[in-house]
Amino acid sequence: MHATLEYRPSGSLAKLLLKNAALNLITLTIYRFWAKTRVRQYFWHAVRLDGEPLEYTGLGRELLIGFLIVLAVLAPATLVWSTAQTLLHADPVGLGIAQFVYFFVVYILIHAATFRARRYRLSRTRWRGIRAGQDGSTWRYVRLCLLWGLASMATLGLAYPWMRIAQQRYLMNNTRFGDRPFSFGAPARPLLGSWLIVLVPTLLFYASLAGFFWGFWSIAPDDTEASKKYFTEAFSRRGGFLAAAAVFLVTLGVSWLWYRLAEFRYFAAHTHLGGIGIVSRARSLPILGRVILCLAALAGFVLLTSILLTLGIWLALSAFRGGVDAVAILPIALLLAGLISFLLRRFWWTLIVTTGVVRHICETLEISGIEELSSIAHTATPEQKYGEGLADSFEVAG
Amino acid sequence: MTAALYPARYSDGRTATIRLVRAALNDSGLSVVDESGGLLDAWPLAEIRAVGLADSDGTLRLSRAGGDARLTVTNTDFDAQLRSLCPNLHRPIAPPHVRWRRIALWTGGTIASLATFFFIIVPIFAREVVRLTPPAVEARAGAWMSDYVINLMADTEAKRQGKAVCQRADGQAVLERLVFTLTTHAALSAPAVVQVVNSPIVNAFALPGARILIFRGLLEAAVHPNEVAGVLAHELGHAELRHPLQIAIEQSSGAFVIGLLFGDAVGFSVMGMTVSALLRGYYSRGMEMEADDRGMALMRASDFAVEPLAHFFTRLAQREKTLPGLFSVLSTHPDSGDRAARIRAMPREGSRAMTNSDWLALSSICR
Repeated sequence: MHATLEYRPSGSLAKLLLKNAALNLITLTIYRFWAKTRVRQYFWHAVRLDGEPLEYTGLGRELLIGFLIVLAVLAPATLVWSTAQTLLHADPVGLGIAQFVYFFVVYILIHAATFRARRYRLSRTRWRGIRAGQDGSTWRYVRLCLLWGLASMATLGLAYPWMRIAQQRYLMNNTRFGDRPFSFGAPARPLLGSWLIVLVPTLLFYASLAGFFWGFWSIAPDDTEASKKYFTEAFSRRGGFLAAAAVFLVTLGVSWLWYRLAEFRYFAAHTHLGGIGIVSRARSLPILGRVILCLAALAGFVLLTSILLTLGIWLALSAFRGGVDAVAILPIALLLAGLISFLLRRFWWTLIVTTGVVRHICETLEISGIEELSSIAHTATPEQKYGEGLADSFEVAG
Repeated sequence: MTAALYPARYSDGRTATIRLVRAALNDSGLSVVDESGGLLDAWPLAEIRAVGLADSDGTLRLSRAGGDARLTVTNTDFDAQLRSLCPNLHRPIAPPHVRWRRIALWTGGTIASLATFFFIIVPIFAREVVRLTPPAVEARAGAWMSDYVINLMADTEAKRQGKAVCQRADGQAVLERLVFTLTTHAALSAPAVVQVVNSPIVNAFALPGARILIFRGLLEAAVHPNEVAGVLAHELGHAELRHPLQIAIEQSSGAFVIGLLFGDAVGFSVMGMTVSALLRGYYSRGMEMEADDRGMALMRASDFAVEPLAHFFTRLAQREKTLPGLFSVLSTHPDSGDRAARIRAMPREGSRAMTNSDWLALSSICR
């Protein structure tokens, strides 16, 4: 027996997001913990399996406490690190070591944050009253990511699909719904084809970048004439380096999206909950359409805000100071509009892209063997009391 | 009164099975019965809670506070009854007295510890680090920084001619004699290195490692040699107290930790920068006053008259576009008028810092 997930949102997301943005502004973003909670409640509730929606039982104060605990640790650590950076600025070797240590620590913390955030969110997810959960140890997971990360670097990124499989295997095999664990096992090789579509252009880009800088460094440092010539040539040749970089970034974005969906479909097909199977037919084109729509909305918003701001400032200044040149106001208005749009980017992105993604994934997901769901029983495991402090500090996706 | 029976969906929380049941609501509570009329569950009114969001048609999912069982009834009459009979329908599961008071306490505690952190711990930490830093490390950092600033601020034309630093021999000799006199009474951890930067900016500052940069603009704005001596003495005061290194540490740490605080919303780094600027103003004004005091002490120890410096500050106060009231919290220096007043309050004895011909040589160091 097959079933799909339904996407049935209730309530106005736009109003919720606007309220969140306003409160975030007033509270200097301290409100963000409650804002995130409300948004998650909205999206969890919108996803319906076999007629019953998911529940999100997380609380804003749990996120706040998580944040405070991490801050208590990170603040002194940051103090020490930034001091080391200031003192070692003139010492290239010392500075190099400090930077390396920094990236190493950040890498570890990001993966720890991902693990713990996922655990928190799963523990706060219920369906028909039954809780989901994630077991496993943070540091086992981090070690896994560290070793595979090194392997990936050593192979110039070729080992990345194997790293993804290893991560997914650890995470999924430790995930359960009620008393039933998920299971995941799959070879990595089938993903390699899709991954190469992202990897090869990326390597080519970095190679050309390296070539560019190599050429630049081989010019004598005092020879400003030659340097200028080098730059102008590089930027004007064949549409210029900048144009090429822009084209590349766009292509990379699209191919990355395409790879992630291929990966998602592959992972879903090899994930089981007891006898329940999942098949996804999600495609990248609808999602890409949503992203473009979002960018268009942002652009339109910037334009509209600039016009309104220019008018407003011009009117205000004319009333108080007499005639003012409207053209002179335009750059300021544009800058302000840009700033406001940047602050509201989350609003547009969530409203247009996130809703599109969740809807599309839900509608293209097929679940088989759903009758087994009824037999899943409740477990009483203690859940972590607070969450996501690290994820907040490192902006892991919320 | 027999309560109406409404069809409902029910899961008992022990397994994920959904049963079709009937629910009835009356003054004594909610009862859930199965097809044959057998009682499955009974919930007191006060413990009925709504779970999650309401659907677009108003349907609520219900639970017994803290429990795992779920009941869903899709019927407007039932909804109406629910809202009128259940007082705690939308109350959160956790006891209310935990919520706002605890959050207020936590927030207050956080603000207190942040204030302690920025205003007490960071300066103490910076001072300790400065004390422990070997002069050689500081000197290297200072050399790097002064090269960077010179390159950044010198006139382009001067840089092209290799004269970013003014080095006319006679002027340089006068400068070095002046520095020697002043530093006789100072406890510097490294010999002072004073350079004149070829730039019209009216300024002078000290960098780590007793490196001092004076800008050509300042020499041109001065009318009396004791003005230059006074500024130099002030900068030497900074160098002696190793302020530049302390400022560098405080400000970079402060900026980083503020970044952490506003972590999630990158857009609000504008807010972060404002707070950083305020902190910078706070940290540095104290140090400026210490440097003023030390500088005056050095001037008097070298028997230089300090009054010309008061004139200099008064002239500066008239020149500078003074920041309107509220913005003065951002200023890194105390108000020029105040500084002039403090100097005038000092004893007036003292002589000229150098002969007229020396003063002429120093003023033309950049020709």
